[in-house]
Amino acid sequence: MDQEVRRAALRAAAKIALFTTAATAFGCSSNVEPLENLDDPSVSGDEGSTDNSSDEMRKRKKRDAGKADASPTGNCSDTSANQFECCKAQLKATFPPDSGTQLPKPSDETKACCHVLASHYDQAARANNTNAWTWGDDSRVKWQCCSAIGWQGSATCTPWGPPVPPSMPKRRDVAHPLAEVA
Amino acid sequence: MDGSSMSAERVLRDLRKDSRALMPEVPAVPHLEQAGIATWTGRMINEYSSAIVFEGLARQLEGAGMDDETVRACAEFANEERRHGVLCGAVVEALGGTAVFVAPVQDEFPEHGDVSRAEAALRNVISISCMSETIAVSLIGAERLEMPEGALRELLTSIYADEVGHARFGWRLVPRLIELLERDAQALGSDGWCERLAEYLAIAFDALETHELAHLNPHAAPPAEGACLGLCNGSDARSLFYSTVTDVIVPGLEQFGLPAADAWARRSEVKQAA
Repeated sequence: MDQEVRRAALRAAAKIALFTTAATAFGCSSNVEPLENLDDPSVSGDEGSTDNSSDEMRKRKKRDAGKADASPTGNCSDTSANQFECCKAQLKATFPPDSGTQLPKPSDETKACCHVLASHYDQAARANNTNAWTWGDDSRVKWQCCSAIGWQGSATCTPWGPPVPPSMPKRRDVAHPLAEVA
Repeated sequence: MDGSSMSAERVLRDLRKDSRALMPEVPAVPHLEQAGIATWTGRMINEYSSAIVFEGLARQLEGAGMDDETVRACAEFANEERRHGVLCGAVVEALGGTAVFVAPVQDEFPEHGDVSRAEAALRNVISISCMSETIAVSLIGAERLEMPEGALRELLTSIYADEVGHARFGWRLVPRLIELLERDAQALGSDGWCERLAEYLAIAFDALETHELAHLNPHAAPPAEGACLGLCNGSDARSLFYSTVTDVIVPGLEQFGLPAADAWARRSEVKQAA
C-alpha cells in the first residue's frame, strides 16, 4: 500500500473521530493527551522496527501459530500424505454437482476439509499459480466450501459491516435501577 | 428487498434480483475474477448481515431517551447496510458469481441489562461506530484511493460515504451519552460507570481485533492490478487496522476522558481471563 494512501485514509478517519478538544469536562479523566500528528510519517505506523502495528502483528502471528493444526478432518488424517486428495474426494461426495445453492449444514469434518483445500490453494496462489484462484479442478466445490467456512479461509479481505458488539459478564444478578428508565 | 428461504436451520438470502439490477461495469481481469467474487461475496454477507446491529442499537437509543431524529437516523443505517449488501452482490454478479448466501448465525444483540440504558447504549455505540465503523472508514478509504476511476469506484464511494456517516454518528453521540451518565451520577451518587466502561473497552478492543484479523488474511497479496477489483493486500490492511486503532480510535476516545489507551493495552488480559 502506498504510504500516501495510508496516511490519507488515516487522516479521513481522524477527521471523523478527533473533532473536539473541548471534551475535558466529560468522562473518567481530565488528562487529555495531545493528538498525534497524522501527517508525520514517523508516528503514523509506517513499517519499521519500532512500529507498534508491526509488533502487534508479530505477537498475533505467534499466538495464531499454535492454532493452525487443530482441524478434525475425520478419515482424512492430518498425518496422511494424501490428506489433500482424501479431502477432495470427501468434499466432492458431500457437494454433488447438482447441489446448487441448496447447502446442507456442514459438519465439522467438512469444514476442516474445506480449510485443507483453502489453505492448499492459498499457498498455490501465493506461488503465482493463477489457476489457484479458481481452485483448479476443484472449482465445483469452491463456492460451497467458502460458504461453509464463512469465506474466511481463502485469500480475501472482507472486514466490512460491524459485527454484533461483545457482551460483558454481568456484574450482579439484579437489574440496574436505571435499566428500565427511559 | 431480498428473496429468502428458511430451512430447518439455515436461512438462504437470495439477492440476485436486486443485485443484477445494479451491476456495475467491472474491469476485465480474468485471472483475478474468482478472487474478486470471493472478496465481494464476503463483503455482501458482512454488510447485509450487519443490519441487525443498527436495528438493535436504534431500539436501545430509543430506550435511553434519545431524540426521535437520532433514533430514526440509526434505524436508517440498517437499511443502508442492506443496500450495501445488495451493491456488493451486484459486483459479485458482474464478476460472474451468484449473489446468494447462507445467513450467518449471529450472537444476540447485547442489551447490557445490568447497567443503565445510557451506559448500555454507550458501550454499543463505542463498539459499533467508534471502533468497527471507524476501521471500515480507514480500510475502505484506502481501497477507494487505490482504485482507478470507474463504475466500481463510484459504487465503493457510495458505500464509503455511508460508512463515514455511521462512524461520525457514534463519535458525536458519545459525549451526549457521557453527559447523561454524568448527570445521573451526580443525581444518584457515583455508581462506578467509569470503571465498568474501562473494563468494557478492553473487552470491545479484544473483540474488534479478533473480528478484523479473522477477515484480513495476512497471506492475501494480489498483484497490483487487483486494486481495480478492490482486492487488498491483507498484510497492509492489518497494519492500517492497527494504526487506525492507535492513532485514531484510542486518542478519539481519550479526548472524552475515556481510558482507551489502557484498555487497548489490557485487551489480551481479557482473553486470558475468559
